[in-house]
Amino acid sequence: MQKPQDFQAWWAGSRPPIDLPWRAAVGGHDTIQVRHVPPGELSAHLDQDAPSIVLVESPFAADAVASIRARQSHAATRVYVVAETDARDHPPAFSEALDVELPVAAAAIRSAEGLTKMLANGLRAHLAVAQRPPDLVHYLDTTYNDVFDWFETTRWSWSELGDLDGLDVTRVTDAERQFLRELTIAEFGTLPAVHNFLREWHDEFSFSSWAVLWGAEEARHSVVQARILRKLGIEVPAKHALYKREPYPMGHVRAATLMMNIVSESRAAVYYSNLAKLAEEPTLQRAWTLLGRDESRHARAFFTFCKEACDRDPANRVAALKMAYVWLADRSDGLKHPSGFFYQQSTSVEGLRLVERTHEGMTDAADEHVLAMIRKLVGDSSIRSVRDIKAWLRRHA
Amino acid sequence: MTTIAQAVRAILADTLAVPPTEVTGETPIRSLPNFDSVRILDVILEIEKRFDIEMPDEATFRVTTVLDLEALVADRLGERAAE
Repeated sequence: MQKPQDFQAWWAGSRPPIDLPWRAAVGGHDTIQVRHVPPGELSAHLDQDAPSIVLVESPFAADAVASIRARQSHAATRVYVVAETDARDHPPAFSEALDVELPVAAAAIRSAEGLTKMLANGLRAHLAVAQRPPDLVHYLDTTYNDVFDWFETTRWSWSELGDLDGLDVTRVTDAERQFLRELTIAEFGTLPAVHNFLREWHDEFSFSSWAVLWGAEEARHSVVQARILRKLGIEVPAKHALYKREPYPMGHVRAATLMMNIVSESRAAVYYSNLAKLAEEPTLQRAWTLLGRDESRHARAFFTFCKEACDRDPANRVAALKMAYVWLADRSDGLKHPSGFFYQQSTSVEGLRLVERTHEGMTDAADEHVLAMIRKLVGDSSIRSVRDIKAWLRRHA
Repeated sequence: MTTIAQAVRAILADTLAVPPTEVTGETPIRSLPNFDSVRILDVILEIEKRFDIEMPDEATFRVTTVLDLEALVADRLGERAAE
């Protein structure tokens, strides 16, 4: 259970809306204390503390806001200008530039109920921006925006699959039918993955937004293969999609979660690509080629976000490489993949291992792509094997 | 108990944040509280630093009990001495 927190709000004006100091319960178990800070003393108080919220009376707003926003350390403080009239349609001219919230009418906060409601909203705003990186000012200042066009312009359209009715069932081998079934079921794991990404990245919107795009692309992989199976007279039981619906345990370090996905997508890319090369049926070949390209794009996008996290905090490199080592080096139970690792109740535990056993050397080929990304991640061209990863960890962990 | 055993068990207990009394020779490593693959890697890295050895990747993931891990460390020390 989250520990209760006590937050601070200041009233910077001459006439407080109610008797101060005043404390309110907010958000179920937290409290917020409001105290009076005379406008002339605001700067001195700001040197000592950073409140979550500042309510400033309109006549004092310009100087007060300038004083707060001059301090980078107070970037998460939410500022509200309080006016006697409802000035929502006419916020102060500096509001946008100096990150001031919508004005508050004085009458709305003259009751305990009104003030509590206003402070609860203010606290939610404060907590939402509290983890914001200092360089994130505009919505488009994100890696999501950077990768958006790439993804939009390289996403395949459904028409590229061709007409599935044209599938020549006589040219699909028994092994390929089995691969299709196992891979369809394995792909169900991408739905709980999206769920988990949104949970683990709950306080940001860049990777989260891309994760939704990723999920939408991955959601097509099961449908494509299940429809091909239907043409072959094979139905995929719904229970497997339900087995894989529950979110698996959430990661602890985002860079490590991203690395796990770099590994799994890189492997999936090579598997689909190899299967496509060997397929003789043109529709199936086309489908697996498109899916393989998706997975390759996904691996590179996960790498982009992972690199962003590692460049922001070098400690993330250690976490990412530990995860890489664990997933690349551990072949004790066959190859590892999140789909098979977390969902032991699903038959696709063996599916990907079947693919690997049938196409020897594929996993090693896939892992070479991962090692190349790791070299770029840490700026060390000597990392050529899992042994080298561990050697790097011995030096840096 | 040998020095190797003492050191390995101390590292396991410390890394997995478990009472040392829970780490016995017959204990299956995977059954220890707080076990996961990344933590076992932390154990291996600490062992490698402590004993100045390199543990083989494959063997690392195949050890089942604490005794197996101690034997692996002893083997590596023996191989290093012979080099």
